[in-house]
Amino acid sequence: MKKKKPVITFFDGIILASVLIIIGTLAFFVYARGYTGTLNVRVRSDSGEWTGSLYEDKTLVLDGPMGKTVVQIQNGAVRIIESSCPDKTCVKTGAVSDVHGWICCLPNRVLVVVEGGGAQGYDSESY
Amino acid sequence: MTRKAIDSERLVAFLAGFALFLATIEYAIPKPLPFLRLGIANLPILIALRRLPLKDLLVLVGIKLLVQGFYSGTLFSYIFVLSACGGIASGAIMVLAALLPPGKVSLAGCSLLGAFASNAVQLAVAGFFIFGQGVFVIAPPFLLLGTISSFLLGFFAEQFVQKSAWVSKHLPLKN
Repeated sequence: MKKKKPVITFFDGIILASVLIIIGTLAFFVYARGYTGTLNVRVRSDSGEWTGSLYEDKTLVLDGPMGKTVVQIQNGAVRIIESSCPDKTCVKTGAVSDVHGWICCLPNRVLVVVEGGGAQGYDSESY
Repeated sequence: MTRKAIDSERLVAFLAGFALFLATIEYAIPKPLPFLRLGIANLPILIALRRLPLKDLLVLVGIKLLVQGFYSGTLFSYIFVLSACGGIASGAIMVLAALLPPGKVSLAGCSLLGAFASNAVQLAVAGFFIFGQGVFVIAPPFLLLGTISSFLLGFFAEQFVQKSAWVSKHLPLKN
């Protein structure tokens, strides 16, 4: 009887394990660092970079290649409430309030990240 | 033009059409996260990986990139540059991986390596030119989802090429 060729090989397993180890290591360095309890919002767009507290209500109107993106910080959560991009995935993401939460609008080049603030915050260190 | 060259052109055209069809389906699937793509339009490339000459493979990768840019409406935006960088990186890595014998690395392994290269390059380019260090927060879920979807796609492609009578008739292994 003809021996059946395996669909997944031993080296496939090694490739999969290696990739998962790389992702796991990256996730550890990105997510496992402590923070003091206060959270900040970092917003990056063509209008520049802005960092502020998640607990101070604020509305930012940002310019991008597609037009305006409106970021709203309210009641300890951040969301994109309006965007000129075509698919509005960023608006549909809804509110983000946990550390490492993020909202991204690729077409309009806007990235919103919630990050740990305070004395031990990892602000401009590698995160 | 020789008969063989015509057959080869027809095959590339057929596979490119298949990629276009899959890109359309991909576009119709709602994306819960930006960046996220199942990558099903890569299936024709995976099927052809060990079966078409390098030149035809490169044409197929190029057409797939253009078609996808056209369908998603990103062809004339900077997002196409991101996609193109990812597509070129994944194409190169998959072609290199496919040089190894099928018994060593299956299409699942090739697909996984290709997706990882594509996603890593896209993140690097996005980080360098647009989002700065913020991409590190996006990277783990993005890479993990890409790993899962590409492995499943490669697994399906491997099963398909092993069992399909059409593949064994029209796309025999190169060596």
